[in-house]
Amino acid sequence: MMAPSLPVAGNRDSLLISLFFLVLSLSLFGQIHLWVLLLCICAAVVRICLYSGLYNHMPGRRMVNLLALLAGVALVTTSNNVDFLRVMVNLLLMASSLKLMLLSKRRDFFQLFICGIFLLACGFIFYQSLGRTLFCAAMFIVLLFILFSAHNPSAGFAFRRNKSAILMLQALPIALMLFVFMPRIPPLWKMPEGKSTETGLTDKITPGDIANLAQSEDLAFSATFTTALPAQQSRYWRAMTLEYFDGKSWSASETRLYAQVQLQQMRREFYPAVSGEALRYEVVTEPTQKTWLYALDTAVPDSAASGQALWQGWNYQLSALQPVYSRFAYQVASYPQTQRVSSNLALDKAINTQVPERGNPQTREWVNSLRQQHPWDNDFAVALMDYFADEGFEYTLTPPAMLVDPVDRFMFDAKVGFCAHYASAMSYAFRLAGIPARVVSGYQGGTPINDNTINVYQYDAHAWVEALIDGYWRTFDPTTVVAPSRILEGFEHAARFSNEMQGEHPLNGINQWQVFEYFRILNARMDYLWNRWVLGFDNNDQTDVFKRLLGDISTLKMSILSFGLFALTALLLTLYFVPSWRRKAISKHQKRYLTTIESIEKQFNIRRDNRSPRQFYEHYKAIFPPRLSQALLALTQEYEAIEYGGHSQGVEKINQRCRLVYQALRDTYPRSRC
Amino acid sequence: MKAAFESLSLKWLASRMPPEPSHRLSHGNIFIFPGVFGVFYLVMTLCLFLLAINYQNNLLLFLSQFLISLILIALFSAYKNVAGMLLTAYEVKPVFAGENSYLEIRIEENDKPLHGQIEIKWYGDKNRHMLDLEMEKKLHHLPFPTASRGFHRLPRVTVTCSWPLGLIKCWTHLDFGHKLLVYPAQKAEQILLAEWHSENGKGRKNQSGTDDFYALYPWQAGESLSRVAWKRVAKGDDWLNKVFTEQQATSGYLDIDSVSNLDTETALSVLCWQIVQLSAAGSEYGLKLGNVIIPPSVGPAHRSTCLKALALYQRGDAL
Repeated sequence: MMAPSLPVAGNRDSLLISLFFLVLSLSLFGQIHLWVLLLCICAAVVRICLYSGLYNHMPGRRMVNLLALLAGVALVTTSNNVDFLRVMVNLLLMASSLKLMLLSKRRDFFQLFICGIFLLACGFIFYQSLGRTLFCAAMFIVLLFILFSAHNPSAGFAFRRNKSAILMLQALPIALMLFVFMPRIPPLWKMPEGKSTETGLTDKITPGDIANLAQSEDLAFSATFTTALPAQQSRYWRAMTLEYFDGKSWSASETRLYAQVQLQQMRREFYPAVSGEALRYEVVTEPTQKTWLYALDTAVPDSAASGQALWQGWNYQLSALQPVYSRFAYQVASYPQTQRVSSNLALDKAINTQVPERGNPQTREWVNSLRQQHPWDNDFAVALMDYFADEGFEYTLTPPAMLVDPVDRFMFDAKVGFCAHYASAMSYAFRLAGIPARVVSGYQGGTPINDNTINVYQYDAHAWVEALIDGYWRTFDPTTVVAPSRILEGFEHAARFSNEMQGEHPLNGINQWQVFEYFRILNARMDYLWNRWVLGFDNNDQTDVFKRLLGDISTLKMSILSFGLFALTALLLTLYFVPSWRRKAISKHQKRYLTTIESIEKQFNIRRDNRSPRQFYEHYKAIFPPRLSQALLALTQEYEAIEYGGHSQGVEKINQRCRLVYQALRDTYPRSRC
Repeated sequence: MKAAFESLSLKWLASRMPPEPSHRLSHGNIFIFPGVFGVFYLVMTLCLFLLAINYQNNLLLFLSQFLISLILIALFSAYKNVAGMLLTAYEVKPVFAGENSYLEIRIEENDKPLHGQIEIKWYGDKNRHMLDLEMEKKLHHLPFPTASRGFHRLPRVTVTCSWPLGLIKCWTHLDFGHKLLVYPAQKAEQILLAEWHSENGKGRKNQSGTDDFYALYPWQAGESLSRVAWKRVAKGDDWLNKVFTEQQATSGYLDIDSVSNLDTETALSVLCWQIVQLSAAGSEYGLKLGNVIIPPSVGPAHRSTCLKALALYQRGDAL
């Protein structure tokens, strides 16, 4: 019997691990190539056949190597447009399924175990929902159980289940302690970004190109207010300002970005002069892989930690210093009544009056004539809004494509579109009239999930206009005059009641069911708690925990705490592994013998004390009636045979002898209860 | 370099774990360290930790911390499993050179059942043998290949256990202190019993009842089948020729000088074979090896004495 090889047919652990990989590959369905999935299924089928003995030739090494070569070529050719992380997942899964086909050595088994854990972990980069995490945890438990089984080939199922569960339960408190107390380390280097998932926000808006706005139901962020919730129509969550227009698209201004980099290096942050009442709240964002953050109107960081992690741009825009790779919580205070003074009038003007040299001739002509009628900036703005209100514009999520001179097409031909079309056209008109203006993209509205928390979903994405009039930035939202319900009642509502959306929106119709609504809100709350306290548990939360435990943080106290953690871990380990307090286990036949002797002791009012069975018998045989004496002798002999003679399988015989003793007792003393 | 390191570590082992017919495993003789798989596991955990902090992903972070905690638990479980285990090795029976000798190792648990499998091998040897500790009978016969005659000190036995998860390896190098006596290899060749010069006149009395043949020597193709010792062939032995003589010397000395045409080792092999044959036939024989003279006798004890004398002939390590 050589150590490293495993039997092929009927090997339980090989079958289990191949089924594990099958489920794992199915669960990564959206992330892997279809052919990789097929390969995994093939490998599982091969293992099942080998296990059941339907087929008992392992695939040849040469054949699998050839397959590996082909798969490698396929991976290279199909991974042109895929990010690094997904390529790695595909590669690992491909290698694992090929290994599965060849699995015959113990070493292969361990390699598969390592790959399996790594793939499960990569799943956490793609999906982090509560349900998904529970699924991954279950898969992880199964994988550990398989590994444990492989090291206990002849142990029963119950033992393997219990013992592996004990191992994991013992590890859990230590892991939790590490999670809560181990200092968080900032990212060491920039990771290759996963392609950002479908969001409602992009850093470039091209209204004409979009014929059908992607409606994603994913959560964008949650905001928990400590003050009263602001009204639906005034919840404009700014995310970024788009200040460069090339005739078709709006994007961030190069000049602005360049200035921002320089200012960040010089650590010259902008401190807006705020006034009026504050709205205080905490935002937990979903990962975006970008630095933009969300806040209402004019916002400033509201805690020391947020102040360090956030950057206030000179365009009144908050952003994170690191790209948001995981859920990120920050505290801000918004001052909606603040008049936003231009932070740098010359720069703002220079950037925000830029228009492309040509294109959209109709609009140019129209703006010229309108500007002549309304030389005052305020009047001009009102006239623009009136134009959108009076000229039969409609709100739609499925506008026709407008590829050439998109603003002209939109303003004078189609007259249908969504927020981006309106914001783009209005900003362009402002700029043509010489008034500095920019498109702001972000979210509008959001759905309250309880009294103080608002969930904002990707479909709440919105774009509006800011124009610099009389030295102040003023907000205009042309969408309000076209589709007031979009702003007043939220996107979800507007979408559900617009005719074109009937039957298309996934939330349609279902919400009428009260029970479903209840569960939806419950689910949203659980998700919020999960996001906030597990996924979003960061440095600041950790500091809060320390503060709550220690009062205030000093070096001495921190070192006492870390020493305490070591001590606690050591204590836990001692508790697990020092068995002195545990009762020594006694075997079945000993137990049976002792209970029988106990009955005799009671009956005759005698004590065995620490006599051996033989001594006990010799000592008292005179006072026992002959039948009992005989039965006890038989029991004693049998007990000795097991104990000292090394007879196993003796429990049955002991039982039989004990019954005889009881019978003798009962016959002699009929009234005793034995 | 490697050899120097090996001898140094053996020396250290000898001072730390002196020879003992049975060993109870404890902190004094258990070595514990992550195995190859454990090292890969740690590397993977480190990778996951780096991914976790670079992506600032709490789930990944928790997973990597859980994996670390798990290997810590595995470390203690692994130690606890083997600590208290009692390993006893029994005296080994002498064998002929070229045959395998088997060291019988019995494993007993202390007060708790043992789990998993252990790997048993000779120190520095590549051949590993698995023993399942869940089995009822925890007994292992570890084969030791022999090459030359004489006394051999059995090397240390390396026992390894990687229960519960294979991440942590617990191992020990035990010296059971047993010596193995290896007889010369048997070589079939005709040999004459030198005449027994009785010195005290007692010898001849025992002659009655002995076989009427003079000696046995290997049968070769072409020889008459009528002289083959069929009784022995039926027992599964080699084909032998019975050689009869007029003057029957049914008892005598096997003398190394009578095969002086052969080199010493071959001569010893031939004597060895003859002793085995004569002993099996129940004949009386003595042995002369230069200064060593063993008077003729019969029985297994006599056979062992003679074979031992052969094994140790001209060997400095005679004990």
